[in-house]
Amino acid sequence: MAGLQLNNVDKTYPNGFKAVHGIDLEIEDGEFMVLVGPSGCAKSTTLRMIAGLETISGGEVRIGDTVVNDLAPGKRGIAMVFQNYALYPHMKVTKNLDFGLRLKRRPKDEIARATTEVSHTLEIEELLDRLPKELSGGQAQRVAVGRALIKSPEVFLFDEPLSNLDAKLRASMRVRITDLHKRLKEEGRPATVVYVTHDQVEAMTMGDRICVMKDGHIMQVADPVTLYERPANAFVGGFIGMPEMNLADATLSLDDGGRIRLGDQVIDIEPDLASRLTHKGGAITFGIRPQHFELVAPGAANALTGIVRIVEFLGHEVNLHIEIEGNAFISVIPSEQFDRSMRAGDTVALHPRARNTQIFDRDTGQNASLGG
Amino acid sequence: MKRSTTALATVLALVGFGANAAELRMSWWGGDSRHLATQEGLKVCGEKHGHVMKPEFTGWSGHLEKLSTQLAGGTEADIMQVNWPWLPLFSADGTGFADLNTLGEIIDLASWSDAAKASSTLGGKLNGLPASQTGLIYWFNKGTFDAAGLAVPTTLAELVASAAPMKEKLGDDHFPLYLVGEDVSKWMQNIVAQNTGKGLIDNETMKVAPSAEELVAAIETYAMLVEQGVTPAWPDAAAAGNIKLHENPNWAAGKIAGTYVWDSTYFKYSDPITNGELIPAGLLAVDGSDNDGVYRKASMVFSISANSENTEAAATVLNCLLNEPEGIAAMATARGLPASSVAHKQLADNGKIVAVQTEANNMVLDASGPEVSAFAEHPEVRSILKDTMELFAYGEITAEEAAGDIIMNVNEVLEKY
Amino acid sequence: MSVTTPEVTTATSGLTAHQLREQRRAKISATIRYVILAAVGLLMLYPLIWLIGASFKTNSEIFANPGFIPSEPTLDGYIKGWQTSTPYTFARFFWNTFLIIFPKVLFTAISATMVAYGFARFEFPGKKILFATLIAILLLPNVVTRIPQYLLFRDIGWLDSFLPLWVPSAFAGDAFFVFMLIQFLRAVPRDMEEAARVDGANSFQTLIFIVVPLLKPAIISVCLFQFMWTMNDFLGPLIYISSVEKYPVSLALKLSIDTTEAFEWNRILAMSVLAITPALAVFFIAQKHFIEGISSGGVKG
Repeated sequence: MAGLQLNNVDKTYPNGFKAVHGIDLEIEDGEFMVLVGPSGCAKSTTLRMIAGLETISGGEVRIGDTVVNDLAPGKRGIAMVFQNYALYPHMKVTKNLDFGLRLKRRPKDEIARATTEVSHTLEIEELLDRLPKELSGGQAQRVAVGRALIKSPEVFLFDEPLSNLDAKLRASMRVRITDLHKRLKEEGRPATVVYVTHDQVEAMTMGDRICVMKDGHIMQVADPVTLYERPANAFVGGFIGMPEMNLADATLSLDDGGRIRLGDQVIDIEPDLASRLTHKGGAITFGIRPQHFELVAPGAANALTGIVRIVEFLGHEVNLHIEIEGNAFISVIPSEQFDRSMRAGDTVALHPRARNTQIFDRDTGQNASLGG
Repeated sequence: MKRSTTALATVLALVGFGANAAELRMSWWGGDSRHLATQEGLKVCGEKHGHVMKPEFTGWSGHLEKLSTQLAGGTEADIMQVNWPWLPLFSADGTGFADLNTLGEIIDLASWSDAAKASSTLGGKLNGLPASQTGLIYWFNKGTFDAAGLAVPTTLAELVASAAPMKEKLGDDHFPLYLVGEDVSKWMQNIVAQNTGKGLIDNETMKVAPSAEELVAAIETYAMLVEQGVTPAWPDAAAAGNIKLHENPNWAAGKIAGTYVWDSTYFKYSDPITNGELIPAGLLAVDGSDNDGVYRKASMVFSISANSENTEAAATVLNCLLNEPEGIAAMATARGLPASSVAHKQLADNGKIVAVQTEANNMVLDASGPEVSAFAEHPEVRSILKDTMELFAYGEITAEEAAGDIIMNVNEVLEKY
Repeated sequence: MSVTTPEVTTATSGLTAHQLREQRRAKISATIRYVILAAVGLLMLYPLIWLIGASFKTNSEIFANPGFIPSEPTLDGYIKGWQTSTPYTFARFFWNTFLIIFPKVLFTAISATMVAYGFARFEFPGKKILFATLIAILLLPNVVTRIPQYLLFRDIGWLDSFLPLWVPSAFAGDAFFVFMLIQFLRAVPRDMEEAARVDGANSFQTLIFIVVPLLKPAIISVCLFQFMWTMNDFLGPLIYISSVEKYPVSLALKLSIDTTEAFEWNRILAMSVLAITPALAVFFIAQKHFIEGISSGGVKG
């Protein structure tokens, strides 16, 4: 097992398009790192550069102590699970599993032992004699994982492995993979994992740490809690969380203890926020998660007034779509606090909970409310 | 590569090995009977003169391509059967093949008439020896004419006059002549020659010889034949499927009573006839003509490669095939009646020639007419004539336009030579 | 049948007049459909049926009797045709054809696959120019290259041997097949090959273990096409082979066809029947894969 390091890695395509802009990332031995971001953010490209399926235009990739830039994929000590599983359609499951070992001309008994062990771990023993086309999506997925596992690689690479499964199966496979990672660690052979997904639920639930990417840049690398509570910038704030964080253009003035002006409405900065604030005043992006945007009595202090546009009753909670000063906001309230007589068109007052309010500089997008 | 083999051959010749026993190749096209006859001829002549003969033969289709490629690559056989119309394609100035005049001591050239030799002489060089001479004549089914109570025609006027009574007596589907397709353009040349004494192409000026008016007269004669019901109209024959005459049931049944084809194809046309008897009728005279207008050509010639390393050995074998008893007996009439007088005499003496064949061939050889240019058989010239006459037959163009087109287009082809 | 009939009657008795009419109409339309299909199918096959029938006729009967059933079936065409007008029998010509086809098909499959793999999956300098050349060869009429190729093989000293007929194929000389395989490969996802590379396979191992099995239907189509085209190729052997003992079937079939001489159609037809037999046999054996190769452009994921 080994850690993984990306140092100032670039990717430029022959047509001149620069997909990855000098990223640095260090993944520790045995760590589960998720690369997440919207489509086109180069997360897959980064993974494929680690795998050796794309050339590296600049910088270096290290696995353990070795610079692997010029090594063939098979010599990097990695294993990869593909989005479409990429099982060899003409080989039975057994042959799919041990293809890599056979190429390395390992002794027959060793191959047999490894196959048995892996098929046992993934509960695919009864599938060994089948062809890939005779497998269901979930079974094919497990075989694909088994094909990676059997090689005992230094680093596991997953490229959106669950995106072809239906929602229910996806949830169970998610648990399975996390569980496998944990079990390997307990068995004393921890696996370093790089896992690419566009699904933030997978990212938040599976990753030890999450690397959020956008347009070939790393936006933030952090554990799930930090990422949610202390987003480094407006992009991360908006990307992580369901529903999305409310983001609105506003102006910050530091006179009289500090005020935030949103259109014609003004709220005071409460102490919880003031203590963290590092902004010098001026154009900001005001951010508050829907869960932290509380419904209060009309006329309450430090509340924003708006008009209800849509009420979405989900059972355990209610999503209120509210228009405030021309900006669309969402507030999530527990259904027991929901006034059933509320209708679209009603005027309501909402209070952004100061402890969870985020202030981003509008020019740089950086979070200016993380404290000193 | 080439040089080293030449050197090797020279060395072999010097040690007295190659000069007598050469390995010679001979190529030809044909059908089964010609293949068998020629292989036999090569065997006996090879043994007689101590040469190893290697036969190379194919069917008709593709032979021109094969020969073209070989001549372009200088790998042609030592002795070749060449189609007479191909001579100007491969040897416009006479240097494409060996000049057989220089081999006169080996080959007895006196067996061929001067006219025959002239037809395959280009640029003063004798490029090939005609295997046979063949020409177009009228053939009639005597049975049909007898049934109609008519005499077999001897002039064009009699032929035209026979149409109406024949139809009256035997039915409207009876015709005294079948003139469709390329036969029309050949027949037209006979009419022009009889009217004017000119061949289609003048070899001196390399232009179409007859004037537009003279061509129009011949084309209108054809139109008259169709109008009088002497021959089925071209479009009608095409509508019936353009069946080859010898495979046409109406020919076999005697409903079509005449044709204008090569004398050498007697058996091809006589074999299918189930009702009547095919007789050669020579050339029908046009009123006031002073010649027969015969369209006569060497059907094919034997040439010797200009690149051959054993020219003399090749000449020895060729002479054996055409002029010596063993060769003549083996080759027989596989290429028509031999043009070589020695061969003709031997075969006739031994009863190898059917009387009707000799009769027909003599009609061709004895007939008079202007010299036929080899360019009249040029593939492009042939297709121009055929296509133009087809347009005329379908009424797309007038006789005057047809004559103008023929003169302009044929002259254009001739300009290249 | 006897069991189902009472059931049908009881079932129909419960139907309304309208339903009965519908049922009858469906039956009639199905009958008409099958009759038309059978008739058209027979029409398309008629030349083949006629060919086989006529090969058992005497030569004179072929033109006299237009039907395909011979009035006096005879094997004369086969016996005489087999003997030929040469010192060799048709067996010799079949063997010659095999000597050309076997290396040609084998090396076409190998070379075309390798070249197609290179074009479809690798980037290398000059790829665009080379690919354009390939397409140009595809569009170039054979006639243009005939004489230069002939001169080339003459200088190498390969005339009158089988080498000029199959050696170009061993160097992916058949641009069409390379192009066909490239098109097929383009529709095949690269994941499997990438997985193999991650599994430690080099380019050659990837080709052998992954790409070739994926391409199998297309490669079989290539082999079949090459087989049939080589079997039917007339001009190639005509030009390069001059010794009768080396003639393949395609040349031998036309050996006795001349323009001026009437020929024995029944022998030619009989030998034609024999000549198409190997092609038909190979086609039926490979039919499953061949159709797969045409219908499925890619592979299910």
